[in-house]
Amino acid sequence: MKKPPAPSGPVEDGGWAQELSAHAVTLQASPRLWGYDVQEDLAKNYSFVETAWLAITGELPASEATTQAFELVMAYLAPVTVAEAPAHAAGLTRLCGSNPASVLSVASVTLSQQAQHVLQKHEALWPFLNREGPWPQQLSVGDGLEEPVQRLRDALHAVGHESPVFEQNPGLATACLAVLFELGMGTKEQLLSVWVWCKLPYVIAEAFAVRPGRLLEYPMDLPKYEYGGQDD
Amino acid sequence: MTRRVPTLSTAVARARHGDNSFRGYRVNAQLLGEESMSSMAALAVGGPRLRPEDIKILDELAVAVTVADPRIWPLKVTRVAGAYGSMFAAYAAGNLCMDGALMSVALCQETARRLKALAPLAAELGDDALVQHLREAWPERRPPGFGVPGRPRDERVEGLACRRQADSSAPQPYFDLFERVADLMAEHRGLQVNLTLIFGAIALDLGFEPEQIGALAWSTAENAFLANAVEGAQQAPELLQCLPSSTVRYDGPRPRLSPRAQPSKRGAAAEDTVKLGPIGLSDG
Repeated sequence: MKKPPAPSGPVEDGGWAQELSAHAVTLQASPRLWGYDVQEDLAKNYSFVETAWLAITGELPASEATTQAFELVMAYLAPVTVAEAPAHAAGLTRLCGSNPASVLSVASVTLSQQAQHVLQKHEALWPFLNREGPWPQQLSVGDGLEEPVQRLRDALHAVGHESPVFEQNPGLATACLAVLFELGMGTKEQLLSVWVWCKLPYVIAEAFAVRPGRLLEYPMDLPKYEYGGQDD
Repeated sequence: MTRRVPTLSTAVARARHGDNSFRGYRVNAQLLGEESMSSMAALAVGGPRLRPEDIKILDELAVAVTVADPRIWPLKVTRVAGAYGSMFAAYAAGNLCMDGALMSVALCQETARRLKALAPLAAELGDDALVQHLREAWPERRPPGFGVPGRPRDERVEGLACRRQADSSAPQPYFDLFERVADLMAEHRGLQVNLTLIFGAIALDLGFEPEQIGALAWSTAENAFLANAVEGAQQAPELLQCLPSSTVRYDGPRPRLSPRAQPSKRGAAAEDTVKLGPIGLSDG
């Protein structure tokens, strides 16, 4: 009996790779992250935050001072209120009685979108931090440092981190992004990752506090929409 | 006293007692029995209400774009994300993958914009002058609308072109322009046209604006995601939940010891200070 011809098509005929490439995490029972043994080295010698820094950047934090400054900035950056889209959308998903995994998915998607939007608004900040451009005036808030920004500056000073960005009266998010950048979170991907990672617990807090199915407890007509269809 | 909250506007819909509004029409009274799934998608993206003969063309477009092989990258995302059994997660993940993706059908918006800008000029130019103009106006090595990965020609273009060539019921100025540009680009620049250019042309002939055409193309591609989301979630294959280790190759850094794990350097890290300096913001 003749063997049927092998199927032919763009996938079969292409010169694709044969294996999936792992770049960061080994597949062995005792995994390694970027080369470091997770159980025998990282778990014994580093905090979870430091390990996450390693995951995001590919290298361990340069010093304990870096870690302290990083933790401070994340703590200041993290809060998300229900007025903001990520917590609002995730809470609304919870209200609908959706699967808890979907609530988290919506939270992550909306947080990622928020992060991307904020980074786009900060495009002019990176040349300034690289000493390649002027301070973008639109990122200044008022004539003096706002209280939360001053508190962040003082807290960072206490751990030995000084930043020129505070001379420019930035808003809190701008100050946090600038310091993250100075500490070594130098790519958009890294800043996006930190944004989502540090804010997710706050979104979780709001979203899972919503009682599923209590539809009347949600202000359905906020904000109002004015329909402009020709059949109105 | 509560502050007045601004009102948002919508042209999409309004829930009503008795009959709902959608894009300026009553669903029961005006749309039901008249519209197809693809013509509803046309209304959804803000496009025109189509004549029955135009709905047929749009339906053909929606059929012809169907490439649903689960191995195609964004569809594979659908499969992998749906490996635990949720077609919703699968569908959402596949669609998110299209945001900014290399193979995004949203490119149809750009091809339509270019065809629309080219049309009045092309009518005045002979072939040689048009080729020269295209070199200047579409200077990319592979302009949007061109390039066919993995095969010599885009079979979707061939299917759609056959149908449009056979239809002489109405003028198709953008399709005619598409054919002319496709031939000239193949002859003079060795470029093969892909779906996004013919899609843009046909959608322009149907009366859509370029800014509506990206979303329209996305809507017609949805069946491929739907099919893979549904079947992928039904299968929820363990194989995709975690591939066999024999199929994965580690290309990362070699094993190394952290500074704190090296006895001679214990404590040294605490003495370090934060070093500031220029840092590059890359996309990579």
